[in-house]
Amino acid sequence: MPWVTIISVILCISLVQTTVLQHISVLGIQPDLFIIFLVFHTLNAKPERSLHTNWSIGLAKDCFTEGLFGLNTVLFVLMGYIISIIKDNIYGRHLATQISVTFIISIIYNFLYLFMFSISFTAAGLLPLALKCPLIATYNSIIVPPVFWLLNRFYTSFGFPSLRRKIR
Amino acid sequence: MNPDFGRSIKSSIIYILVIISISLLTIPASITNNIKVTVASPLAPVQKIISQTSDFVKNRFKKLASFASNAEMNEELEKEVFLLKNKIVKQQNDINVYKQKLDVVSEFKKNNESDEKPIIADIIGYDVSNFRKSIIIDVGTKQGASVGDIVVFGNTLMGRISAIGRSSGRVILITDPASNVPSRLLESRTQGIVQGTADGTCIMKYVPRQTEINESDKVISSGIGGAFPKSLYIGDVIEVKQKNAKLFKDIKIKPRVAISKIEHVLVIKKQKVENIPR
Repeated sequence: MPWVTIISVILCISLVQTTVLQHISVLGIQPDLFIIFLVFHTLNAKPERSLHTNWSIGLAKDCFTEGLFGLNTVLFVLMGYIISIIKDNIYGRHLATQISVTFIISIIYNFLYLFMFSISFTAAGLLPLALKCPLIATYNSIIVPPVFWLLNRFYTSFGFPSLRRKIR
Repeated sequence: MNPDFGRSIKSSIIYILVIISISLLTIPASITNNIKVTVASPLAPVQKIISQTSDFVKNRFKKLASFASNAEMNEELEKEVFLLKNKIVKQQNDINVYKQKLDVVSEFKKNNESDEKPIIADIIGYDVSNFRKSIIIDVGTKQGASVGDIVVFGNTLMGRISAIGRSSGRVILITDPASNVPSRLLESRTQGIVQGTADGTCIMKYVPRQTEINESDKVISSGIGGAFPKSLYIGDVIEVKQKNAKLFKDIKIKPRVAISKIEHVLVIKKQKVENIPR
């Protein structure tokens, strides 16, 4: 059952990200629901389960983007690992923490992605792209409250055991 | 369970996942493109429905917003119509002259090129990454498209098909940082390479510093290399920079068509390299 829930959420996120979010892009930047889901899941689920899920989220993102296949998978496992290290020392249920973690993880992820990208291609405008990283992180942080609320509702409705226990 | 045992399982899971992920990076692009398209294909019908619905909602919102500004615009438009009517008379004469020339060209084209029709495609999805620019279209091998086919809007170059499935395909746009299009400036005929920057603009590289370029100069594809046909409109020059020590100019280009404003594109079959004299 938890896997069905996770796969359903990943599918929904993939569909929304590839179709609707383009229309709410600001300065050519769209929020990254995959990274927000990664933060949500890692903060709430057991470490073993979050590892598999993060790997699956990364794989899903790789399927819907141009470029090296597997790059997002590696980075998402790494980001999940970073969150699981700091998770015990923070209060992950507070909104301020969730927003801060999303901001920090978005920045690290985007810089690492760009670093890997610069190795693969001699792209002309890497500096402007690097400057976009804080903007992407800010946009992701802004939409954290509604997305976390929706994911919370979805998880509790579809009986995700570990999270239900925590929420109650 | 023994905590040490649990920890070792956890770390071994991490190692296994990282090894699998890294090994994914080494798979050839032809295979990974097939994986991507296979995964994306079943979602294509759903993507199409969601895209059409969101486009519809977006257009309704736009219409509502435009009602407010319509009254002021009407007056300005009336003046503009008067001026344009005068221009039309002059242009009709020009059209007659061009029509005669066009008849000659059409006759030549009829005899020299295959009459393969372009395929109309709906945009059903966009790239999920902020640093990459690609679109998903509802045209695949079933409709006769293949990898390398050119995607245009009107006479404007949009990109090239990078992966294809049975009923959907992925198009790498000219604004993607990994896209390179051999191009030339329409006026000066100077050649260069147009590269994407992922922020909606492009950069034209390798244009010699002594070349005179004005803002709003037009850039077209040069056709060199054979990947893209020649004379397709790419965009307009919006900024020219010249640093002292550099051999080449930095030219910023605004693409003719913004991808967020269109819903359909045209797929042109890649020209087959045949009948080359030996």
